[in-house]
Amino acid sequence: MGTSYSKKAGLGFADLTFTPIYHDKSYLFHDVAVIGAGPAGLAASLKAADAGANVLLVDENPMLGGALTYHRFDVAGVRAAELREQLTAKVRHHKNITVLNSATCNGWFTDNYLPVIQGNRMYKVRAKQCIVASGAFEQHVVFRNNDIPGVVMSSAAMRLMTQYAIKPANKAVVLAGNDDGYLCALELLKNGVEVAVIVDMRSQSSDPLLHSAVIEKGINVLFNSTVYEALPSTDKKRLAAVQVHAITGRGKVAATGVTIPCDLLCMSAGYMPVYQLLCQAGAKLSYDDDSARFALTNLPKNLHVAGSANGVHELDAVINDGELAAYTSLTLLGLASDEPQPVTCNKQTNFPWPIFSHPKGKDFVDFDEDLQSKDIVNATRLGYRDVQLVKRFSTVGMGPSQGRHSALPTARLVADATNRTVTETGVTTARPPFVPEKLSHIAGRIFNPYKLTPMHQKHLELGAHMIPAGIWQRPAYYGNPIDRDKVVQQEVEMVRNAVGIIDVSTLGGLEVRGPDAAEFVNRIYTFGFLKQPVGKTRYAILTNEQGVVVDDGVSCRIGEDHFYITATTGGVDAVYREMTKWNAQWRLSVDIANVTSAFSAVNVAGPLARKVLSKVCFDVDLSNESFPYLAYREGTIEGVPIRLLRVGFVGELGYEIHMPSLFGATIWDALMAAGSEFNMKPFGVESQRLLRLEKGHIIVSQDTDGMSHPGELSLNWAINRKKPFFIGRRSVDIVMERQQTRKLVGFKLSSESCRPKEGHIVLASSDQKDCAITGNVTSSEYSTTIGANIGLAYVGIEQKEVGCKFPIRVDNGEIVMAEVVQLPFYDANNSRQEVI
Amino acid sequence: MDFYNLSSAKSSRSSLLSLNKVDRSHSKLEVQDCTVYSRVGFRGVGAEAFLESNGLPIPKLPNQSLSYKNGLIILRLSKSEFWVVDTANKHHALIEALELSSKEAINVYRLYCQHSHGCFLITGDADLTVKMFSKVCSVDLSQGVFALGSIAQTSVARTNAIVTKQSMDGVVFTLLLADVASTQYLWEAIEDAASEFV
Repeated sequence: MGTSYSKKAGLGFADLTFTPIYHDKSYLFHDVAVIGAGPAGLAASLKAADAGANVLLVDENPMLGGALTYHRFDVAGVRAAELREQLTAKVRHHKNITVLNSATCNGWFTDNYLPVIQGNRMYKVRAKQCIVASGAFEQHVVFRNNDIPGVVMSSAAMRLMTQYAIKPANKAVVLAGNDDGYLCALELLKNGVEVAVIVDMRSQSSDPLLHSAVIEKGINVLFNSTVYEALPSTDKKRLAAVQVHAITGRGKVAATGVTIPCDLLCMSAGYMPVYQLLCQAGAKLSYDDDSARFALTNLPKNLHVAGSANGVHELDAVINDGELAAYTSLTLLGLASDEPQPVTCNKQTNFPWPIFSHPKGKDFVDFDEDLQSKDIVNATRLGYRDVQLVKRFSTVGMGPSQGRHSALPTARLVADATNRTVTETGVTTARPPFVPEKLSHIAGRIFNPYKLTPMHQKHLELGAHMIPAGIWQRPAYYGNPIDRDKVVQQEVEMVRNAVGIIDVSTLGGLEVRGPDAAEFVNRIYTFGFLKQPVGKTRYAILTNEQGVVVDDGVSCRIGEDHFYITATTGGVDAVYREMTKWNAQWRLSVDIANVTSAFSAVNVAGPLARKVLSKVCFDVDLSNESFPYLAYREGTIEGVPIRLLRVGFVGELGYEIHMPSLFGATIWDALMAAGSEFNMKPFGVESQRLLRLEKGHIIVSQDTDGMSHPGELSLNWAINRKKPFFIGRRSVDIVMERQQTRKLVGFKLSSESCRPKEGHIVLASSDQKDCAITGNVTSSEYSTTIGANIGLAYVGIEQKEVGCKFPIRVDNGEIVMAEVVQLPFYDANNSRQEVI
Repeated sequence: MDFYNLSSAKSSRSSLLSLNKVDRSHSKLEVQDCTVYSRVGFRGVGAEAFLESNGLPIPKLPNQSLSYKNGLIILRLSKSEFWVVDTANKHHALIEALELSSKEAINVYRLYCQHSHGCFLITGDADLTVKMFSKVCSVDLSQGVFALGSIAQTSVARTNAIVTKQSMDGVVFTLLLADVASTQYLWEAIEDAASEFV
């Protein structure tokens, strides 16, 4: 038993040889979702579907019908099968009903969002109306040894007989707290099981006809009696007999009783609604101590309950209740339908106190957790009066059955011990999932979007090592990762000495057009843009309202009322969002478009860049005089339109060529062909990062953090203090007036030193072990061009001066001393980008 | 600066899709990549009048599309945003002329949807199309809810997308427009979702 429970609970060892299988998800949209295909669910589905609603019927069993598939509802034992046949046939053929069987609705979420698991798929159901007809769980009787094999619920025995054609025993005793025990006895008899006696805890049967029927069949009935102890066989493996005592009061029995041999005891003490989904939706479960009836109230709009979950147990009333729930749903959907009769059901199914504690114990309340009645009572005596605390102290309800059978006796015992009603005591919180679900159902077929540039296949053909850059894939370098350092240095040397090409299509692109375009750009970015000449580019920094640098790019003025602005790969969507948000307030006459994907781009950089470009672009004068540094031009390559930006991110003569994306591959091929004469090859983003580092150019988000203001980054030159406004202006003014605490500086280490990694911390002192952290390394790489390890780091304000040496704690706690140097590391006069 | 036409150089367009890894032979749903077919968008308070002056019919409400002339679909994405999409690869000249003529139009901003978006056309059994989409999209695209001409600006396989249902020669199809850089990803996601419908 222990092993079986462990497996059911998901405990055990992970099977590392397991081969994952495909799981996925799918949405379903329905007017009405009916959870449970018992008589109430079937009736509700048919009523709703007949009125034109699009119905989804969900049931966890392979066979529709719920209790109709095993329960006996009449003396003759024919009603259930006939009704099931009739209802399921209609459901199966109804065009408006979709059936999901062997499927579990595992939770209820706001607005009837229902996860339904069937096989390897999780359906995410959106239902306008939801009817929960989930039925009821039969409850056990608490007496000594009630966990011996052979002691079962009546419904379990009936399932074995009806659904599986299994004769469960030779000689049975039925312990009844309601009339269903009598029906079980008849079913046992029909299947060849001798019924020794019906032990009825009540003083009399509520159905004289049923009582007569069992008497006629020769079954003796003992009223006002209970099984007080189950007696095991000598090998302790099965039931051998039951000890029956007269009931003398609530939970009390006579001192002596009779022993009745049997190998099966069927218990029919009552039912508890399958309330979990409803309580997840906020429903309140209440219990009338006098009538021992449950009720679920306070349901949210568009959620309904029907059938035995609603405390209705007579078959005709159950059908009626299902139709009534459907009618309510249809009314809310605006669909016409006949109003059913009000539901009346007086059948009492719950015996008020089926708990007979035994001085020797083993009177189990929770079979999963081996908890006896005294364990629950003792918890209350120790001060855990709240049922939630009783649960956590005793672990009641924490086993695989999750309180389906232990919740009610626990509530009764806690209520009794604390002088409260069961309603006041309540049950523990029901949370999804209803049954254990596999992680694969949640994780299966998760979508992980990625973006590729138009030149992606070209990069692969050229042996690129691709890395993610946000959602994009970019070439890090072209070569084997084992040779990474060597390849990067070769690519850098190529750009410094000849020419290289890099795909920069992932750069963000934004267009601002309209009469107020210049005013808009001027308000968004820190620099001055009102007087930016047409045909010129200008560096653009974006600060947020806290004065922190959050993005940068290049603004190209295409026309008086037309700007094309680049943004960082990872930041462009946020910049676009900010732009549209601000203009919702400013109401300037502009159109703002995110054109990131519309334009792909490459940068041809190096002393020979102009020569390469001049072989394919004939309608733009590329000379330094006509097309100087920071200028913007438009032209064509291979007959397709391009935008040309003369920029110097890597510190060499360079042209950023922006082209409509569907032309990207064509232009790449043309440029590669033109560059072959000059041995031009592509270089990757890691080489580009080193090239720009040598020039001391920052990368926003790599060299900045959530606190970086322009002063810390030495970007004062990019702030226009004369204009009245830009986003973050006030904060920038404030933070730059304050005493500065840190600064981003360039640093150098000898090539023999241990190279710091990005993220390594800068310390105030190399001598003191527990000294303050003053900053961190943001960029670090070995530069062949410089012949040293170089990088950028935040340092304390007292460490910022050129020549100052500061400690960096590297791997293994080692301290290396870096020296602050003047930026840039390379080509201080910027002469390289002015190559004639 | 010169105004240039992004609808030009049709023969130089290349889709970003690489089909080497995808086996499409088994599915009852056909997914066609129409990314290189012509399309153009316009936005601005003058866009509606501009299109009407060029003889194009306009959907009366946002998030509606209509079919015009053998596969030319006009989508109204908002009060003042319109896309003209050629799904039959027959209307390049019209679209190129339309884009050029917008140069002089007042309060009309052209949109570069030719290059910003990939374009898929999905045909096959209508119910299966709905079931396939229900695996990648949280919008109910079923017959009774998503009528011919409806537009959903939504997320498909976690990628921003525009979905519309239209017909040509009596054949109903679903048009899917999404970020061109996600073309390969989305194609594979759609293929995966469609693969069970054999």
